[in-house]
Amino acid sequence: MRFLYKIFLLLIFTFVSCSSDKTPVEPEDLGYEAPMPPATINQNNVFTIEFYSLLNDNSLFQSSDYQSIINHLSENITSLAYLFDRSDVEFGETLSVVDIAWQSKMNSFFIQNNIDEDKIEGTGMIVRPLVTVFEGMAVVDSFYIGGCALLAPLSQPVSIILMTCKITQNFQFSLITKFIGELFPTNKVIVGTLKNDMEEELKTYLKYHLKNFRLSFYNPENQQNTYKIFFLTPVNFVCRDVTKTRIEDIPMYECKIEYLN
Amino acid sequence: MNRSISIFFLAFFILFSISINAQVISIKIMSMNIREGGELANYNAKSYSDCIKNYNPDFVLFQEMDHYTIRNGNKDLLGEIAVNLGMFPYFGRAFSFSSGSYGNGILSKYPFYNARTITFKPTDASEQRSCAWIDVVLPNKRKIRIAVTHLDTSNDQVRVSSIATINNNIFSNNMPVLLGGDFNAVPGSETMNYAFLKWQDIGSGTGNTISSSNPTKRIDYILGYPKSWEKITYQVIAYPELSDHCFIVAELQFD
Repeated sequence: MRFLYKIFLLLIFTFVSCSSDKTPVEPEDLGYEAPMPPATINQNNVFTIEFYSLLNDNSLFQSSDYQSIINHLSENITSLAYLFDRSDVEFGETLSVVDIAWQSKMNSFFIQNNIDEDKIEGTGMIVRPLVTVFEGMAVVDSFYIGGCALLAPLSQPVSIILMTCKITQNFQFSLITKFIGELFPTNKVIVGTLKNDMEEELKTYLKYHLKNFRLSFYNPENQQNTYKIFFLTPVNFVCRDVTKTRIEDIPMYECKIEYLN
Repeated sequence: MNRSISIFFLAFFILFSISINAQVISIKIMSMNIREGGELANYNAKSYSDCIKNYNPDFVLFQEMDHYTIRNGNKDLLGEIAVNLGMFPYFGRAFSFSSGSYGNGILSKYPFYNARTITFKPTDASEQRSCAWIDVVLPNKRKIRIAVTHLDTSNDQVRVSSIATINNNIFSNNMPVLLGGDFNAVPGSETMNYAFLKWQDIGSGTGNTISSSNPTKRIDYILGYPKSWEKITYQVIAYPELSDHCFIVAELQFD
């Protein structure tokens, strides 16, 4: 009986050993890392996005005094698009971004973040062409992203879907990847703002949940800034440079993005 | 333990979703065919803005809107009215015209997160036409699609084909939709009989809309999808100095 018991144990041991041998070893997920972009910049393939932002939780325009921006937009016609972070609006009042666009003979859109009874927070987008499709996603009370297709006048005209969003909480990461799709197959270029302390979290999340992308940040020097600008693009785009300037009192970040063909 | 937490969150999410959907959609919408880009008002934005201000709508649907045409003095009339009223504009181009564009326009009190224009020119149509729509999250968190169209004048077959194209593109995940505009067809016509297969005629039984000085025919409508919109008020108003069409102002609710 004792002998049979030993045989039984031996059989179980053999079975477990054999079974574990057959279990495929999961390769370790190393995540995605974009290849280094070329060292040399092809200036013919660089386009500019102007990003106006205080990079904090205040509204961009404290009054309707934005004539200098209208003048700037009317004179500077080389930028592909103009984004106005926190160009908040109050119901019934003149909408700053709509007004700037109308006075500059351009077209405006608005990507909201929060809406309550009398005020809407969000980012205005001004573009030159008449846009047929404005594409976006609204997860009520959680996350909004939106943008439109633009033809960048590069060495060869390239269609870019420029989008913007604001990231303030980490549950929004999965909503971004859901919106983009895992393989980042299109020319969606996302320029938005991110809470200062979330950079590493976003990097880690995207590394394991998205492919074929580049992610970079503009970190403001001012310690009082609570947000930074992020650039999430397909791998065939790269943000080359961000230069801070001012149009009157409004901080503007001139973002140079290269299309790597 | 993990399972209990998941069930708790699932139940919370379901209750939360139900509470969001329990909020009634309550909006005021206005439809205005402004005739040839606003010719009767000399393309003056203030005239239209002042008229709209009297009714304080959440959405305005324009037909026959010009965008930077020689005819209208090379201006963005929709944008100017939007600035005057503090609303968000969206222009839906039907075709190139007079060195600019011609089509439909939408003004919204609330920002839109999606916007699209489709164009169609069925066989025998005299002009290419369009249908433009925007998707909006209302302050009570409900989503709604607001659309505008202006159908061709040629014949019923062309208009039925146009409505079929609109129907094939406009419905999305049971989102409530309002479609307004100039259908160039009277109640009982083949066009409107086809439209009412899918759409609710919210202004059923209301007055004629053309001409504005002597209304004898009803060709402007606000249609609802699904067919469970409640009409609170529905006015047909005449401003002969602004258009040959009467305008529509409707207060509507949707559970």
